Amino acid sequence: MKLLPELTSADVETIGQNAFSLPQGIIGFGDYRRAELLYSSAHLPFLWMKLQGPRDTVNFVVLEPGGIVPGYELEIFDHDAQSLDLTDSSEAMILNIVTLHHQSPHEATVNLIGPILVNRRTRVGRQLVIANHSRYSARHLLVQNESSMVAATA
Amino acid sequence: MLVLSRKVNEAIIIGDSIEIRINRIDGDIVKIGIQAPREIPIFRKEVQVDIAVTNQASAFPLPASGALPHLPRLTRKP
Repeated sequence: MKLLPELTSADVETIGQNAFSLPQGIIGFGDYRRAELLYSSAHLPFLWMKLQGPRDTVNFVVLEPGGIVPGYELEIFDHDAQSLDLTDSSEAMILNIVTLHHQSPHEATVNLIGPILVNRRTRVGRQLVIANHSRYSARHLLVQNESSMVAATA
Repeated sequence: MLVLSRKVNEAIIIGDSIEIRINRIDGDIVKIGIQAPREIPIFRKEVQVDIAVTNQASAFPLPASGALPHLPRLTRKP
């Protein structure tokens, strides 16, 4: 498997309009209300999400699932759509959090049941439980052996 | 926390539009019927706990080098 090169903060670019607020933080990180997305073109589709809390910063690896997770069709509760003031699905940016296990990239999983949705117009986001969560997992294996999407050769 | 005792087929009202009814009790399993507007999110607490556990496992402090952890190479399907 091919690994991505190490990335230092000097390589990281910010995305235009890259910051958004999370009025309730994310689940388990309620005080971390300010988010920033960073990326390096070599690491796409992975993005780096920095959450700023009152005292410190935590970082997550996230991705936009389109084209990466086949068949992922999330449905959200109307309450969540209303609280984000989403009027059209095109306004929503979907970010799924990636979990790395034992420093082993091919075991990376992605949380499909609790995505962060961001309204691109208002720059406000929240992590929510999707309405059709029973179809998906919080630990979906990103690299599927049979997948044609993954260049697994070194 | 408000604690109420209920028998089978008794219910609890929350606000204007939510009703929670004890449908059946079978040993240590309680079947609960919930009537609520469609827009209100309802899910088992385990789902939220699962997300919290996943979030904890995914968070990492900024390393001194500023380096992102090793990631698999993925290409996006057109």
